[in-house]
Amino acid sequence: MATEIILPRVDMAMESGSVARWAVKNGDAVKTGDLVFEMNTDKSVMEVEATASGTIAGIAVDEGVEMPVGAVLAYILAAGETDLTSKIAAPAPSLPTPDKAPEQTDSTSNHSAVEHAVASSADDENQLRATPLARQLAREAGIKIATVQGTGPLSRIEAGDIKRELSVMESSKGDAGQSRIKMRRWLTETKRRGAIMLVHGFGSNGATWEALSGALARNGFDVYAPDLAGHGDTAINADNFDAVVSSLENAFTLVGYDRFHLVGHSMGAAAVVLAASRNRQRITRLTLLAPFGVGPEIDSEFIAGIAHANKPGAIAELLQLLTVRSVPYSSKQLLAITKELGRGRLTTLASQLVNDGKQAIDIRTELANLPCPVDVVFGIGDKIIPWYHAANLPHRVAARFVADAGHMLHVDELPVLTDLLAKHLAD
Amino acid sequence: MSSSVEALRPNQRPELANLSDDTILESYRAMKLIRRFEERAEESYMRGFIHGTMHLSIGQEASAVGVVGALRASDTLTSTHRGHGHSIAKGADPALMFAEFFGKQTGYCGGRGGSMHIADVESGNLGANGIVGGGLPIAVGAALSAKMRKSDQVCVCFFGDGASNEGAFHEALNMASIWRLPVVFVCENNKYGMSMDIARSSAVPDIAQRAVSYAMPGISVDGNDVAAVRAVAETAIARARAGEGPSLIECKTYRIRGHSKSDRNFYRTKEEIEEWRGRCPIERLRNEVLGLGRLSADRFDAIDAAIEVEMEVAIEFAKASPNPDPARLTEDVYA
Amino acid sequence: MLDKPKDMINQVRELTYAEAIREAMGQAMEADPTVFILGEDIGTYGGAFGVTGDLIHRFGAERVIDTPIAELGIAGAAVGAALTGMRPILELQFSDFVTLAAEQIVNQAAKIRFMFGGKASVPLVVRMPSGSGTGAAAQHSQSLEAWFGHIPGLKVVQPSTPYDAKGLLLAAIDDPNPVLFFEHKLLYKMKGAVPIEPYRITIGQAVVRRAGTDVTIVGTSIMAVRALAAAEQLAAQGIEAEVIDLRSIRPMDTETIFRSVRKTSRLIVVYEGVKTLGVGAEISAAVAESDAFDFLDAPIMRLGGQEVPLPYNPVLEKAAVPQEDDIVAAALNLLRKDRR
Repeated sequence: MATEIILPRVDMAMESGSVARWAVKNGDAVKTGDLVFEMNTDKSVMEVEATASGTIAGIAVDEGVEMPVGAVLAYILAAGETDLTSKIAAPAPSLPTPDKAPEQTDSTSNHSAVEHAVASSADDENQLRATPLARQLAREAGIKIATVQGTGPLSRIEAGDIKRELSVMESSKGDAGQSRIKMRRWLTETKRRGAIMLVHGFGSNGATWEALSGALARNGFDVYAPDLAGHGDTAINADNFDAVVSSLENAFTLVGYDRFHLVGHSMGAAAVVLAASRNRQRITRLTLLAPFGVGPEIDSEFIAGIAHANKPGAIAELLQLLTVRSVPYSSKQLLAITKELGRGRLTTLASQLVNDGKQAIDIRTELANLPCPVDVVFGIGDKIIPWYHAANLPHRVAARFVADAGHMLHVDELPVLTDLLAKHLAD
Repeated sequence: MSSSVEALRPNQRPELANLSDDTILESYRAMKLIRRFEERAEESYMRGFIHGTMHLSIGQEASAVGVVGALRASDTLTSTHRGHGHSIAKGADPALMFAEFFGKQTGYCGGRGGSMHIADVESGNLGANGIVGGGLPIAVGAALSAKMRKSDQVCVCFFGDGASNEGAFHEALNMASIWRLPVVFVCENNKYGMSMDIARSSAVPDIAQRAVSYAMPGISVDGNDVAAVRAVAETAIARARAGEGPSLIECKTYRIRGHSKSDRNFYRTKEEIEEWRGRCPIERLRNEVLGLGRLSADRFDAIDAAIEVEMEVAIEFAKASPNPDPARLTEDVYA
Repeated sequence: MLDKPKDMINQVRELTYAEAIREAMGQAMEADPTVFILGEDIGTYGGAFGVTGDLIHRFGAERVIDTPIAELGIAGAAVGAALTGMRPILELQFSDFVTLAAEQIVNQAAKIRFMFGGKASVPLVVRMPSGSGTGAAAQHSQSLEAWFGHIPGLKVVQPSTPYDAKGLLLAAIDDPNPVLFFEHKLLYKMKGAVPIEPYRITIGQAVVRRAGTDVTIVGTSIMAVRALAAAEQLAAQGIEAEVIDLRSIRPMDTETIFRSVRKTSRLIVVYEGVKTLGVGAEISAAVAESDAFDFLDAPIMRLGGQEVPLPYNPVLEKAAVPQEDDIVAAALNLLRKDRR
């Protein structure tokens, strides 16, 4: 039976990519492990190998065409197979990435890779919907339009989306010149109930929210998840925590709602509180997951380890500290994470966050003065920041505890967290 | 017409007796010119010089020449898709007509019209017409215009038996009559509307009968007898010019060739065609005049020879003329 | 105005749309003896909609000619007269009846000049009351202008104000080409300022009736009037619509549309003719093919007549063609002010 050749996800943040060069053409015989194509990713060119032996058929995508992760690019026919008719009618394949929660293949998610996988033509209409003016503005500003999230009907990118993107670039000019905020968006396709921004923690990026975001989008919320300064695809340096907070404030300008719910995780929770205290009119409510900045204790070795990580094996060990459940990371994922953290962008920041083994930032004053409702959630199994920091919180802040969860509550107890946030948002 | 002329030629029928020698020779020349023009056009078509189809009036020359011969130069006419004869009778230059057939810039319409749209508004030819019955209301308008401008122009409206079944025919005749317009409707009944026999398409055997409905004279005439056609045309034209209103003349004639170049003549017999070929209006005039001893054969032969030369020159002119420039395609859509 | 009494062009007073048309015809006939009018019941009756009015008393039955009910015939008569030195104004009683006259207009008038190699012209005006809203039902309410807009050789105009009616009609009478002049029945009683002196409005020139920045609304005939009213409603909601009255659909002033779209980035086209394959399709395509395309920030919207023959019942009749509120709703939708 025919084997699909797909555009593989090779990076946690990766949503799309393109074939840089096909190494094979239709009719070529390949063996497992042969080079099939070279792929452009955001960061580099990667080689992709055949996962089966057979004959190449149905090459559907030209070199250079941006495709979503998981899109079927071609097939390898097994011996005796002569055509693809059975394949085209077959059900869509599920994505191979084990780190994805099952919900993410649901079509309410913006990342409808499954749909693309069925459409085997090179037609890219599903990939990018943008108005002519938006395209023109992007062209003129040198913005890669695929990186902009559309807020128009059918998620169409409109001029306003580009202008927001531009304003972020403008506002952050001065720090390293090409600074930009990477913002992921999951827009609901059901009746809109509101907006929520999810802010990742130290060493992570917006992709960490994929599962939670999909679930929230299905519940009627437009979800925004920025990469903070020094993290992911945001090209702003994070030499100090202020830069992180400031990048978050910039991210606020990308949200197409006047007011929204703000969720922060760990260091992101501290950033959220500081940014919210300066943008009170825009924030309806805060939810802080395992917040940094409300007590002294922290696994400082974890922070230092992440900041200086450069070996996949060490990183795999560190990652196990984050959750109660054992999360299977593929070697490719680990390589990608290693590659990102290996850039050493976080070493200075780490030294500012943690000093002498203790948390060096305290957000409790700002927290106490916030006018909006604030909820804090800790996992009882958190090995990075202990749950008993809840005792240090200002009395107006409500604390909750999740039994079978570690530091990454949204990974360990996704349903619980979804439920909780949906209730907060509905209030 | 004048009885004194008839008295001069007591052995001749009055229609012929009334015609001067010059008029007879001019009528012969015009009919022969039409005939040879169409024959040479047909030949050019077969040789691939002509892009589109054409509708030949071979056999019908007497109707065009008899009627138009009775007009003044300032008078106007509207014509049909089978209109080469009307144009030539009105004085069109065969060289410019060939050039138009060949699609050349020098043609009457600069290669934009072709065989079906020869026109020369300056000389009163308001145009051939590709639409059956298209010229009927236009002729009414030209006559209305002549009347409003207080000119004494008469407009002759040629159309076929097929057009007499169009609504435009009835609307035009009625208007011309109620407004007493200077128009002469000339139906060239050549027996077929494409393949449809007039006996199957018309409720009355003679189109002229339809004049009764519009309170105008209706006359059927042998359309292959140029003298007879001329006689009825003169009467109708005089009536129109006098402000007494329109007339309907039906010239009973026959087209020897098919409807167009793609006609395979399935709807009529060879015998019928041969019978009508024997009634050739050109031979008929020549033979009748020769038989009467009014004019000698060399007068006619000289005309024939001159026409052959004229045809050669005209075709050479058309062949040598330039094609229109595609860059000027959209010119002349608007004035 | 008062201190310059000789400046007649500035002497302006209120006329209805119908009166403006009548005044144009009267002035043209005074100035040029070759101008005349023909049509059904335009003489003593004064025209089915009273447009010719008293002209027969001023110019006589020879220049205001009552014709038989024979649209093909009278259209052809007008063509023949135009071809031979006259400047006829043909009134067809309802624009629907142009279907009976189409042969002469489409096959003859439009093509004669071209077919004859540029050696003739047909200076003809065909005036036609058109449009719905009078309960005249399917055979007396159509807007067929797009049919004729498709024919090279014709010009097609649709005045929406008394001022334009007079200026465009005088321009049409002057024009050496056949001009189809679509009047809207619902506008005949509309009043507006009209100068006394003759003046001409260039055929093929649109006019920006209202400047705006948020959305361009192009309207034809009465839809330009409705677009203006809709723009006022939108202004109350903070949306500034630019309203363009197209005035002519052939030739079409696309440049004015492009200029506006480059400014507003959004385009709505409103016309009464059936939506499909109509004026809106042409404008949309022209914009899509033009440099203005790059300035679009939303899909182009067409508001046109529904895909039905025009109904009799007044509620149905209104539902069959765009109304002011439809234009408002379309603009709100386009600007996504009705979402969230």
